[in-house]
Amino acid sequence: MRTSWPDERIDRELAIRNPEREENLAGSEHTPAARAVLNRVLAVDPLAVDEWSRSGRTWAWTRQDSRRAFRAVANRKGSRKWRIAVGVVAVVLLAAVAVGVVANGSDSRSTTAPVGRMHTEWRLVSSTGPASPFAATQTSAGLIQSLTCPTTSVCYEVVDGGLLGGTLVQGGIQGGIPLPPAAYESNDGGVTWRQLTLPADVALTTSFTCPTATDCMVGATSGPYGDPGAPAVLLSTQDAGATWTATTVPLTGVITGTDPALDPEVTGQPGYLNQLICFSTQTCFGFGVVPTDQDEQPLTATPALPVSLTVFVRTDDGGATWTTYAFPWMANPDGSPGWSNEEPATFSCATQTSCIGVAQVLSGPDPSGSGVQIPSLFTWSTTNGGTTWSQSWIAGMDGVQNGLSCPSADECLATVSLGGLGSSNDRQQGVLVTTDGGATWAFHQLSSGYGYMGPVSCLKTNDCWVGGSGATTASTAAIFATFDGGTTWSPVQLPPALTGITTIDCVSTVCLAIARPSSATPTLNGQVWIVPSVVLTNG
Amino acid sequence: MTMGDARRHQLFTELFDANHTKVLAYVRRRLDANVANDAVADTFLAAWKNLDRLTGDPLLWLYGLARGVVANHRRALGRAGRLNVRLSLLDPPSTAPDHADIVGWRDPFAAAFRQLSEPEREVLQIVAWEGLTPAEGAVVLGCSTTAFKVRTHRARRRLRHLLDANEVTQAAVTTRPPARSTAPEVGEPLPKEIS
Repeated sequence: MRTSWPDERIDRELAIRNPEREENLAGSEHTPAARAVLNRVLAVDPLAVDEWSRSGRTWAWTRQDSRRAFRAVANRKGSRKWRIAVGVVAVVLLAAVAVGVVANGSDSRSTTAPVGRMHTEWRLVSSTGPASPFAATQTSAGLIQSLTCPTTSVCYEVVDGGLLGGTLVQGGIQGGIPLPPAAYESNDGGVTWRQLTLPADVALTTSFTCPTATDCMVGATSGPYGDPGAPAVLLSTQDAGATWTATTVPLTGVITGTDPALDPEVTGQPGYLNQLICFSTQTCFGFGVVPTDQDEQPLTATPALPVSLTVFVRTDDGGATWTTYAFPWMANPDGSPGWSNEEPATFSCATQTSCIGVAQVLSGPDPSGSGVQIPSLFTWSTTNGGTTWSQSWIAGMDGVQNGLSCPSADECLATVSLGGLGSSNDRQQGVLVTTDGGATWAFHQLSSGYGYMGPVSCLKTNDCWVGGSGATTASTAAIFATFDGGTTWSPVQLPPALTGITTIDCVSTVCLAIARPSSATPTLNGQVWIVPSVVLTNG
Repeated sequence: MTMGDARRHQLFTELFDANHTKVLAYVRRRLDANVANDAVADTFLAAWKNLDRLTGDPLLWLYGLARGVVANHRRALGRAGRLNVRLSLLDPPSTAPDHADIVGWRDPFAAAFRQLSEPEREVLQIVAWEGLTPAEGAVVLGCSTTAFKVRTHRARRRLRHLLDANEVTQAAVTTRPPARSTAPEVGEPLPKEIS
């Protein structure tokens, strides 16, 4: 019977699951803990205590011990029978060895060296037409398209709802009415999709987060689509989207006393969730923005516009009660007022205690002379489940963050564009990598000739996949893989004529990604203009 | 301190500095981080007490010692784990499994690997994670090179059978994370078994 698991694949899968790389521990012998061990060991008199030698016998059964045991058996009464039996066993073993060597090749090392998955091919699993459930409005400024796969076969997708009515103009739609985002589910690895029925008058604002294949949560606002007064809610399902329950999330304006003139605009005004991470049906972390009475800097309107604050909320009882933490408004590294109406931040929580966020605040002149400023990157991190957060600048790294994935409490990989905001040639595309919980970050630049790096999904820092644009033109879809912590990247082979990897999610050893055909134009589905998308996988 | 003692200290310090990272990595691949440092300390303590017996490649010798230390820790953890299971039956934990638990549990490869015996896992780990040749791995396990190759072949064959069988049934499986009390390990994609 043919197997899909040859030796090479087994060894490859094992290698990529190596839970600890030596390079991550380089210099460990110089740490205070290691020196303490060394000093403690050297303080022991090796000749005075012999219990170690005795106990050592139990863990290091030597060949000499084996020979001694064999002789003991062979010298027993009736040893001739034993010798015959041992001889038979030896012949059988020799035959097994011969089979093993032949099947294994002459040197198993040649096929078992740790290797990555960089040769994995990506293929199209769904190339649905205009009536596709995947709909994305090209004219929408805030294109929503996010993929969440709790298992290798079950995935959930949030997409723009399309535009109702309007006119097709030069590939875009003019005058259409935006519809709230829609949700879809696939239980066959992305081949087929069905639209989920959501509660009336809700608009999704986050990706799905699914502790299991059927238990999922998603952030939303409840009320007429586009109503700024619609409160934030947590939608939960325990039957893969067949039924939903909605609980209110207490995201409301924060009064700091900075500009009392803004208080009427802020008091009682709802915010919304833009990220949701659930570890179970009970425990969820939410990140969102709320209005506050901090003036936008520099002032661009009279009266001043309020700045939005990033907030963290947590529930441990399925949304019945919430605790809230409002991140302080950030000034620039030099203390000057930041120029931002919110702090674009992306968070990733590897455990229920550890989260890291990469955020940015505008500062400094743009070297291209465009007049806008280059954001300074900084991190938020917590090690106590969000009770307290600490902030630190990513020194010398000015730019914008595009995506973040933290496969463990200490390891994160963030895709960034560093440098000027003017021409794309001024920017350095690449990743920031931390292996110490965000204390230090190393920048690894993507080879020149490649474009944008956006959505990222990591199984480990040494096993990350990034969606972006490719080498030939900025509109060509590309997926990059790294197996060495981001130092080197390999673009993988993709089907032709695709543009824009909008989302990617990896689970186990399989990744799914969403892209759009290069030739896709909005098409009417009834009265709704939609744009088809395609699903890719390396599974 | 005699001259002999000084020389012994120097030799051991050099041995420690040259191999600490690799031994630490070996242990952390197999034990939870909370006990890994203790296991590394135990390994080097055993090395210090048996330094006169060192022959051949020091790293392989240390791997062999570490292998025994890891086994001892697993036995100790197994006793503690069984006690915790009994306690958890009296007072079930209210917290949900970590995200890493869920990721690890829904990995069919990890699930199949978890079904191998500890010796089968060890021989595959030595090859894939430590990157040792059959001759080197044989030193660590205290067997012949041929025996090591045979063990490797058999372990791969059994894992392949498990994976093939899982693939047949996987489509019908709805993956759910285990309750905390039955989750084999915390925070690693592959289990670090408690034997």
